[in-house]
Amino acid sequence: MKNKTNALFLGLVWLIMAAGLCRTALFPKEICTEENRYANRLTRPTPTSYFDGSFQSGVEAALSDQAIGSGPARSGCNLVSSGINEALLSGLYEANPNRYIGLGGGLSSFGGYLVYDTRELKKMAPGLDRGAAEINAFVSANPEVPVYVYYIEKDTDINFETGEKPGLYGYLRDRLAVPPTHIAAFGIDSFEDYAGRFFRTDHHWDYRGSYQGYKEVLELLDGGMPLEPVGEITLDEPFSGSKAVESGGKGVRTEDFTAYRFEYPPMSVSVNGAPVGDYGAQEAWIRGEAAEGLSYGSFYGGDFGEVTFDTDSGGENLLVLGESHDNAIIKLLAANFGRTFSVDLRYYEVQTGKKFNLGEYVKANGIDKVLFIGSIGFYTSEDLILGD
Amino acid sequence: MLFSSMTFLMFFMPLCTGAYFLCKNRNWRNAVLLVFSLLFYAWGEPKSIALIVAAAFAAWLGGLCMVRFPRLKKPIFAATVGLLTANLVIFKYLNFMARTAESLTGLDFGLKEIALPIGISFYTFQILSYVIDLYRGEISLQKNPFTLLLYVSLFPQLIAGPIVRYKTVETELTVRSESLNGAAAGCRRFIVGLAKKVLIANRVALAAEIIYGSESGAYGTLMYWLASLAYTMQIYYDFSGYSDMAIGLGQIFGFHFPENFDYPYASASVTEFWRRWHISLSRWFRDYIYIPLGGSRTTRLKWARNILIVWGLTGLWHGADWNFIIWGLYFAALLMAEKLVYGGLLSRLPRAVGRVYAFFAVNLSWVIFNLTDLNRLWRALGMMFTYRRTDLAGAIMADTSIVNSLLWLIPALIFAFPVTRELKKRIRLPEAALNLGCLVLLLLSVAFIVSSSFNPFIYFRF
Repeated sequence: MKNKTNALFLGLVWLIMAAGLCRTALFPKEICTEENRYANRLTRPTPTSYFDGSFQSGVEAALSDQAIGSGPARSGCNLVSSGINEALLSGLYEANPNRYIGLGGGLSSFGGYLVYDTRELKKMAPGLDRGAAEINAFVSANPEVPVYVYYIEKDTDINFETGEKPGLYGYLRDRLAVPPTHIAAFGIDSFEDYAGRFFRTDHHWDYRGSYQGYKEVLELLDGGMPLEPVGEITLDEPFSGSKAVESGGKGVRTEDFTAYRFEYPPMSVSVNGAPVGDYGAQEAWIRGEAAEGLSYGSFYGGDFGEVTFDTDSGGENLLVLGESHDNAIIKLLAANFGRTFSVDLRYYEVQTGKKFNLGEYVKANGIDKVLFIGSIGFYTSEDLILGD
Repeated sequence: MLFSSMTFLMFFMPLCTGAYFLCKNRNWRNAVLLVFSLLFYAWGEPKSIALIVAAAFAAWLGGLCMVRFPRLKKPIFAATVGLLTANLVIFKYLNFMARTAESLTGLDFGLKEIALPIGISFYTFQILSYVIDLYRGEISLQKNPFTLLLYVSLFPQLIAGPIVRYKTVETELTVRSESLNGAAAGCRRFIVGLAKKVLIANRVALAAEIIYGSESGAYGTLMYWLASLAYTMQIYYDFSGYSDMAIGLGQIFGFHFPENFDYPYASASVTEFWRRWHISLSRWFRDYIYIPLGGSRTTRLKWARNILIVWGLTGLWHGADWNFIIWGLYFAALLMAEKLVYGGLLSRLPRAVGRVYAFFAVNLSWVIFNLTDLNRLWRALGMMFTYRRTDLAGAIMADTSIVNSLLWLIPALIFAFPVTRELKKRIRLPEAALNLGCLVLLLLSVAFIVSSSFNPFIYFRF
């Protein structure tokens, strides 16, 4: 009896371990649905990746994502942990609406919003210098192509307790060799500014913020009249945004997801060169027919290397270089242009298999205007490389 | 590779145990263990694998020469020990010595930072035990270099102990019997160790990290004492958890490694603490340094010298920094005081008094041990001993994740004392219940591993 029990025990332990390996090596999943991101997968080792340890880190990340039940386990642990935290500290949050309450990992709660810590200029300056230099290099090599820069201020650009701003946008603007009339910012000067235009639990702007951004960008581009919303809808499903997930509070820290409805003109859409029915699933969500879990990306559209919109209107061609903030407005912008190209440099090479060169891209696609749009993370990103 | 990583649990272990138990022949099984042990080390230390192989080969060659050339036994022994010690000194202490010399002389030696190979202190002491015991005639020569390399690189105890002496596993390297029940017991021991590390050590660690890492001044005296308590629990569950995992893994493959911990925080004196904490290291120092120096059977002055040497070296063994030397000498002072001043009184007092004293002394020692930056160390000690009020709400608001971490201190404190041992004596659970409990612990531990990025082992740096 003892032998049988022990054999069963050892067999089960071995199976639990081996199942994780089999799944990772043979049947890896594509998406980490709990965290709304691509799941890590095993990669081929190279001498460099082995000796610098990145291969080993990749294996660990892949096994953590791919092991059977890892997603629910991760969510469950985080849910319990943040549930206890919320239950114990709810009084503290309510009593201190105008104080940063640290949640760890650079994330805090302020006035019922999950916010990132304010960035320091001295830490951001090298990245901004690099980003500005990349843009300036393109401008100087292609003076005939109009370049526009739109900077999105958010919680990282202001201390809500003191109202002090580190001046990240000003620092970038002063270093850009772009005409001043081609530069603008989505300004945040107080917590009230922020609270009215960003999600409580997500790092993106909400429907009001993104619509304001769309109108400002359109004005900057001299792109004509903006599309007007034809209605407003709040989805039934509670929304836990990226910051809620990051803080382990998915399902605990929730908010309403509200969006404007628009009547978009007919347009054909391609993702990484392949035609798709639509970008995002706004109508599907509004009709209650969405297939994925609710997230900013599943509603407005995800991060892809290249998305193109063609309205066949014969209007100007626009290239948008940005990050996920623009997901909420590229379809709107596309309504005002002939062809609109959206490139996310974080994924372009990986997803299209091509190296990105802005000069060549502009020539190849007959681009009339180039728009850079993003928050501090975009302008300081090491992926912001525009040429060889 | 960490035992508490997905790579170990879901990649290394199924392949290693699968290959090992598929082989029927002892030589093949040893070959599998050797290959996987080298892979285990090379996974985390690809550049240092050659060093461990070279050290094992040097010991094998030195041993062979000692036996073949008995007249030259002493110089060969000295050369081998010198070479192995030099290897340790260069990779572990040269940076420290250079830094110290630079700060004393104001000169810049331009020495490049030498990376510390993981586990070098552990495997060097194991290799030295082979060379010294062979010289003393306590063990036989190991003629097969691969068997010696297997002993040195055996992955369960390779990088964080227990320090398994060659004579402990001399026979088992070639003759041992694996059994189903032994493997199940080993597997349960491994899972308990994993749970200690993942469910407790990693949780309480966060409180110490947050408080010691804070520069905001939000934390007062109370929080600094809580941080010291959190680290005291972290280091115990971290290291004893690792030892449990190592002993359990050894058992799966038929080895019997020595126990390394015996509820050290239940000790009633510092002397007793060191008989129950990192037992394999204390015994190594006792047998290879303290007793050869004369031990306690000598004049009081020489005994004090021996204690200072042994504890200075114990401190240095743990790390090449001044705080470790201070930590070692702190224990030397306490051990001398117990022997010469108040040890007798302590033994006459109720055991609870001794326990409180020992726990306080040890808790304080971990503050010294933890903070390698001397400025931060003095600041922490200052905060602990000069009262500064803690604005509790402000302290929590600085980082609320500290609350969860501090909650874990409760089970940590309970299980650091022999509660489970007493329960085991009174309640005899059937094997099936133990297995079921361990399966639940395993699943919980895996869930915590995949949900957490904070997972370092403290003793790896030694």
